[in-house]
Amino acid sequence: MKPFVVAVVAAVAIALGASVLLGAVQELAYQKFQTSAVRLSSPGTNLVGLKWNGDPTPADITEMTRDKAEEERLDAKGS
Amino acid sequence: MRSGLKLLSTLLVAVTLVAGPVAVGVALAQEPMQAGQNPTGQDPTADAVNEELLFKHESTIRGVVSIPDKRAGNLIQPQGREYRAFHERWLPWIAAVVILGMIVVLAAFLLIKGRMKSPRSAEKIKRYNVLERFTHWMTAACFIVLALSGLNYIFGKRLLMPLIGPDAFGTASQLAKYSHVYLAWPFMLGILLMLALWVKDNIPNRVDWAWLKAGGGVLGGHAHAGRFNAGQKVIFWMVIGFGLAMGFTGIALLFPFTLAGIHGMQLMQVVHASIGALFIAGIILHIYTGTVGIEGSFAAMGKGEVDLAWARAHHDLWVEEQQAKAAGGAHLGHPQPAE
Repeated sequence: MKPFVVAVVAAVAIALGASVLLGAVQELAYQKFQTSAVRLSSPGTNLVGLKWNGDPTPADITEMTRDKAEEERLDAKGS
Repeated sequence: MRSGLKLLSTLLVAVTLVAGPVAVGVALAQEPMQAGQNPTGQDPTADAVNEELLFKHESTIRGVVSIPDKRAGNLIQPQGREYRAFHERWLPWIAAVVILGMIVVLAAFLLIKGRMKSPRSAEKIKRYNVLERFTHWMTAACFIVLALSGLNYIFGKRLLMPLIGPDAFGTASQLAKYSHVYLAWPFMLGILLMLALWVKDNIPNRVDWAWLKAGGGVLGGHAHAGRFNAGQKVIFWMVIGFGLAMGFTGIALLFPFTLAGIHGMQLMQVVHASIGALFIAGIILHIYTGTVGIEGSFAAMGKGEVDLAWARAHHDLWVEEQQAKAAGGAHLGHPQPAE
């Protein structure tokens, strides 16, 4: 009985270790299967931001970009 | 005269131009049309036929892209249809026949032949040490979870989802997927430990051939065996071979596009699932012989020691070897009250 209990505990411990390692190494499915052919519209009107760093700040939002975003939203709604 | 000839030749040309096409048209209309031929001379299904032919001859239909990720150029992958057909149509049947077939055969065998009886004595002999039992149970415990979560992959949406509903099935499947991916690692470690621990006792020899010819004693007569008989050796090499194959294909699927492309991964999944079904059937046989099938055999892995008379009946050559090592059979076991 004792080897069985120790074996189950060891299996769970190794599995937890594997989950931590895999979490660090593996990419999520949406990352691994993505392609670089995604159209992101113009910088400033999407989540990329003017600096293309994925971190748009409120300062990035100008009247021009706001108008362009609104225009694209209406176009998408119309189509 | 000249003007008359000119008028005549003009009329002749005009008649030829007008009547020629009409005459050809009438002639063509009077010819019997061949079956399936379009009157316009075009084959309206030609494009579709070509497309089907293309699907049959090309595993991937690709375009040309200038972006770094060339996978984006993959337009259609007709080979995926074969994979889908296997996954959705053939695999459930193969798995059901193999696994249920094994259960039916064993149940029939048990009903007809009954449990294999073994003699008993008051002495015990150590069969497996702590490390061996730890390795066996770690691998076995992982296998049970891997098998159930793998079967959920094949049969879950067909059998379990109608019973518990889509929400509960979704949660259960996600947990099963996590346990499958994470418990695969201690399972693979167990396979490697088993190989290291037991490979020397599982090399096939002449005794195994005699054991097989005697049907392991089932067909009558005593079948000699060393530490592991031929049947156990078959199970051992099945576990090692299938375990390594499952590990390799599983790792390839855990890291997409690392060891194989989309075709390779589909092939890996076919191999993984097919071997998985055979593996489960083989382990059901192993569980049967280790518990219900042969009286007294569970104690080997359960307690680490077996009845000496049981050992002499099933592994006589191994007992002799142990007695020779211990320089006297009296030191091998310790008297125990008969159960």
